Amino acid sequence: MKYPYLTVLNNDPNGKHFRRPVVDVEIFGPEKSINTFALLDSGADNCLFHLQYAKEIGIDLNKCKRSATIGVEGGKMEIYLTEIEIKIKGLEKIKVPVGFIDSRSVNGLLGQIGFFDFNRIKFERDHGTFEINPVK
Amino acid sequence: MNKTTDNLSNNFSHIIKSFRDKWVAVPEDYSEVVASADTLSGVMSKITKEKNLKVFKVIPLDMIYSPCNL
Repeated sequence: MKYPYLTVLNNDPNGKHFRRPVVDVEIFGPEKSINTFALLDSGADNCLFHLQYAKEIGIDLNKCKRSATIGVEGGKMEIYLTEIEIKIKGLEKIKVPVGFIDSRSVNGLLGQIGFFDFNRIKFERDHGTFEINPVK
Repeated sequence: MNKTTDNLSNNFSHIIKSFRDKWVAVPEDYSEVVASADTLSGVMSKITKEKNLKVFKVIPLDMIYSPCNL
């Protein structure tokens, strides 16, 4: 399935616009599902979603495995690991391990473990598109 | 670089700029902010009857972004 990059205008009038591989995704929990978006991040080990999603969809954080993640600055932050179902627009629903994190800069990230593992991702930034094809 | 952008990108960029750090609910084309709040639950409580809305935390995507920079 092919998707367009999403362009975000640069605040700097002399700067280039930012183009990002963003997809619409529905995340499912025991109580409800929420439609949101996620950024494909080949540099991220885990799929991450903001902690508030966990509470809203009914994830019991006490049953999650606690771990920590380190960002490019070296700061360590706690994450709550569990497995949820997600559905990317145009694709089948899948089960993925995710970490929930209380971070100002994370809404949703789709990383290597559990996502890139099972999907062939082709970035064609020069064409403004990227592809996600599940690996059977 | 060609700075022509589509409506979707313009709409999205406006939200990123105007609602930083908020949680928002928007239609698929980002054409309006149906609800906003400081928390996800705050937004969800405002859109109980609305369907097909996308909800997200407004993160600083209009600057150089390293999501690992948590």
